[in-house]
Amino acid sequence: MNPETPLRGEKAIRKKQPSKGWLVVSRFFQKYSYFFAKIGVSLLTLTLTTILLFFLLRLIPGDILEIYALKLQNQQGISYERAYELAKQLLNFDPSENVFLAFFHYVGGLFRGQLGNSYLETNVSANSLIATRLPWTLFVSTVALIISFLLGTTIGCYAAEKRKGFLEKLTSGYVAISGSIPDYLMALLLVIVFAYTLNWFPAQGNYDSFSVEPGFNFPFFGSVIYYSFLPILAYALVQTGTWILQMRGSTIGVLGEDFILAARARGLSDRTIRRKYLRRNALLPLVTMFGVSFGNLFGGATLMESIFNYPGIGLEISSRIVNKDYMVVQGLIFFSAAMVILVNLIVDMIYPLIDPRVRKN
Amino acid sequence: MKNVVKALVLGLVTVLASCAPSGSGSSESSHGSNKDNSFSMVTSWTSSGLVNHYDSNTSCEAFNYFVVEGMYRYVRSTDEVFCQLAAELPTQSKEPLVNFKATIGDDAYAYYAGQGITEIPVTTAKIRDDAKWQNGEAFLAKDVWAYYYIIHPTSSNYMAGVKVVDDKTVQYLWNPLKEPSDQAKLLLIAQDKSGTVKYDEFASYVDTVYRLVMASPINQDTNLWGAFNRFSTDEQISQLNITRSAFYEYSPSWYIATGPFKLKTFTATQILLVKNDFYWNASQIGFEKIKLYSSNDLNQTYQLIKKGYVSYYDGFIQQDVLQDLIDSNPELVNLKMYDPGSIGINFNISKPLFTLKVRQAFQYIFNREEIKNAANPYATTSYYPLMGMAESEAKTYMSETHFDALPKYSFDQEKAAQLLTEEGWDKQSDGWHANGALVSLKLGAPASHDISATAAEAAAATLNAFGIKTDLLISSNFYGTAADSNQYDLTLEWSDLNMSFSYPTGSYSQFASVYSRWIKVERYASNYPDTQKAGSVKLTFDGLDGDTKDYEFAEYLNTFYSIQGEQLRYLVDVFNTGLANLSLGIQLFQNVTASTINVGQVKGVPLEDKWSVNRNVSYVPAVGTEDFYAVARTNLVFATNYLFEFGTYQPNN
Repeated sequence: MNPETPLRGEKAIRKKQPSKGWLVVSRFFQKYSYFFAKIGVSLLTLTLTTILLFFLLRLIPGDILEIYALKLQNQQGISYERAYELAKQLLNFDPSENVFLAFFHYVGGLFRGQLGNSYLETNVSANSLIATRLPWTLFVSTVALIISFLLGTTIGCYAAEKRKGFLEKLTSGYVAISGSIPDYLMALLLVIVFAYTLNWFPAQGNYDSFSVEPGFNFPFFGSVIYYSFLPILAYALVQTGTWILQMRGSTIGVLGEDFILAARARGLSDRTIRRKYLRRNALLPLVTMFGVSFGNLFGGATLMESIFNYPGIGLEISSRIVNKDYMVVQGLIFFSAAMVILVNLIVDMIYPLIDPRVRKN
Repeated sequence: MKNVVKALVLGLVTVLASCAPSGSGSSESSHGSNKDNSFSMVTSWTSSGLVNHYDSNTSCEAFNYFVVEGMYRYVRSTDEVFCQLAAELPTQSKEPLVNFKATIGDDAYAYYAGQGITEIPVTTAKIRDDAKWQNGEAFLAKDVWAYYYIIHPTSSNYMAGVKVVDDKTVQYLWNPLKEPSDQAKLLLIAQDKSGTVKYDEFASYVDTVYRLVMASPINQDTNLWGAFNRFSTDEQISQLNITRSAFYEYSPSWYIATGPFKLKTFTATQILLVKNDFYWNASQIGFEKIKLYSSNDLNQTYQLIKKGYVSYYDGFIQQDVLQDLIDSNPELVNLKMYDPGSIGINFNISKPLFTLKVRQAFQYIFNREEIKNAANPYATTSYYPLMGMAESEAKTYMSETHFDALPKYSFDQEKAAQLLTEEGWDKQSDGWHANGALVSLKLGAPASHDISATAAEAAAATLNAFGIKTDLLISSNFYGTAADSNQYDLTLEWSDLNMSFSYPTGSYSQFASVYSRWIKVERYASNYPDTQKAGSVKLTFDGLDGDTKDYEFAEYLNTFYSIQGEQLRYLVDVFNTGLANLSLGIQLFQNVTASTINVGQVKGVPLEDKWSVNRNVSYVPAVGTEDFYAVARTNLVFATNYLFEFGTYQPNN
């Protein structure tokens, strides 16, 4: 039988086979399934975050109109009823609005890039607060992250190499202590010692607006650094311990690799081995962690910023939760959640380039 | 690499060293010499930014004390009125109605004339010749006019109009059918911040609102209260809201104000105010700047006081904390003054458990003196039930006979047990039972009010020790909502409080609008046909001394400002006696608040003979004495800028 002659019914089967275009698309999706899966999971997480955030915030008991009315009553010396009516009018807020309708309004706003307007303040939105507060949060936390990363990885690497030395004992002690002290407690200790007792550093604020003019000038930068010293120190002291621990573990792993043995056998110096073989390879998994940690910075640290009264995004979130400024709170939390998800996604996307095994699996 | 690190460290140390002296703040003025002539305090403000006028949706609490003014200002708790932008206290007169036809409008004139009115009550106020806005332009009568027509403060509910006589003379025309007493007129005007609306700056908004107000129909129901006795139609209200919203959001190029200090710089955590050289009494003001700090934590605030960062703090400080502050900083002085409010327990009478006899029994359970000592040892113990106002105000407004006849309750738990038993309660090994079940109560208290929270702990402990199982629920900012939604059996917070000046309406309004809701006093429906009563509390009291007439609280609540003399005294007698007999709550103590002042930074602090001996001055001056007025003025919440305006406070340099 001519092999070219189709069997009975084969023609029909061939007809049902996908077209070339479809195959290309299919192969494309198959090839990049890892990336699409990650994007899909990220979108799903973001959607669930949005839904949960919106409804959870509304479950918090309390009436924002009541708080605002009491404030107006106090300020203007008017009756509570009148203040309540005025509050409704001023805040343009109807507590009787259907919650599902409100949710759809909210989601519509998100698609237009509007994260939420404040009920309590004129011309204030989550967008405007992100623009003014996020730089302060990112400044303090990024500097702290970089310092702690550099210090932690350097010390961790040395500690792994000199496992029977004094340095190892010292770093183990430090890691144990810093790991068991929450960052806000460290912040409190630093404020009590360096601000209230020794008076070396200011206890609160982001710069001394009483004596410097904000702008591109040395006194302003100096003041910013001076005021951020304690918050950065508090963050760095706690985070460094984590990096030491991670780096130490990673370095010990790399130390046992054959290529290190081979390098030693080739007679390379300890310094060269450390710089060119050990540290670079040990840093690899920590780079990913660094990315994830960077994503977490966008939410600010509510307690830390509250202790230092540092006007970052975390302080803004905490004060607006207290004042029930729901729309702004959900906008700010949505933003930070979205940034965490986005940075995680980017890290997930980059990671297969560093380690192709991830993609294969 | 190592060199780079060294250079960075060296640079950082240099920066920190160069910044430290100016950044620490305390070194300049904490040691008895106020070298930079500054006054500083902790306050709160809209951290996201200020719109440049007081009547916007943004605010800074301390601007009330330093930046904005009215024509007059009252001192809360003493009712003393002093001039701010006005040259002198106003004059009162009755003028022919026809002379003001153009001001009040033809329709209003026709209405009042139709009611047989021929004269209209007029209050005439003169503005200081040298009163100026902070940009140096003259403060004029037209500005006062603009304030009333766009803001519609409470006082405008009693007015028929405001007339500009000339640049420096303004007349308040009172609604002849709802005329307040002369004292109430002055107090009403004295709560208005009329120096906040500069006509030239806001003309487009003010003129629009004025036209809408004058086009609104005259209200002919004497039980309804609206600005200038006019009620806008739906379309007019909509237009008013649009214009007003635009007004709130409009931010001029400078902060519109007239006060002794003006806004210089603003950040989320610090505000700097500088002396206003255009102020009418600028030569008397020694302070060059006011430094405002924000703080979101009370302990942080205490540290700022302790370290001399701040010159002043108003409000009660717990005894142990205060002693620590005073011991740590030898320049701190704490003065005490009466607060026109009582802290107490309010019953939720919607709970069937709380019959009148049970409520009366509860009055005997508490050792009020001990609770007072635990919560605020400087306060004055009260032995009265809730009566609508604090004891000091009741003494002022009631006749001596009826004040003395008010029910008083001593600490007598045997008597309490007897009354409870008579009401069918039964004490068993596990506690008191009522209707066959163990009595278990929820006592709510606000975490935000230190004194109430401490008193609540003591009260809950007393009830548990007495055998009434009580769970204490101290809540943050959900307390009010929880109380409103029936979640507590008892609440412990203010029981009688005057939020503004001491005319009886203040305390009664607070009771009617806030505390009666938590007590669950029966109310008229909000759509009740009698508009005077709609939404108000349903309470009727018997006349006194053989008077067989009934007096309904809701009928008089809005008209108190128009009542004076013996009639006012009698009505307060009736209502206070009636409320006290109902035992709706338990007054525990009349609060005493305080001013903490750094005398190393501020000169002119009263009672020096007292604080030079003991800086924690426990002496609370008696009502009406010279010290009473002097100490009340030190509280900026009470008296705003009194001590700055007249130069009493000076920098201690």
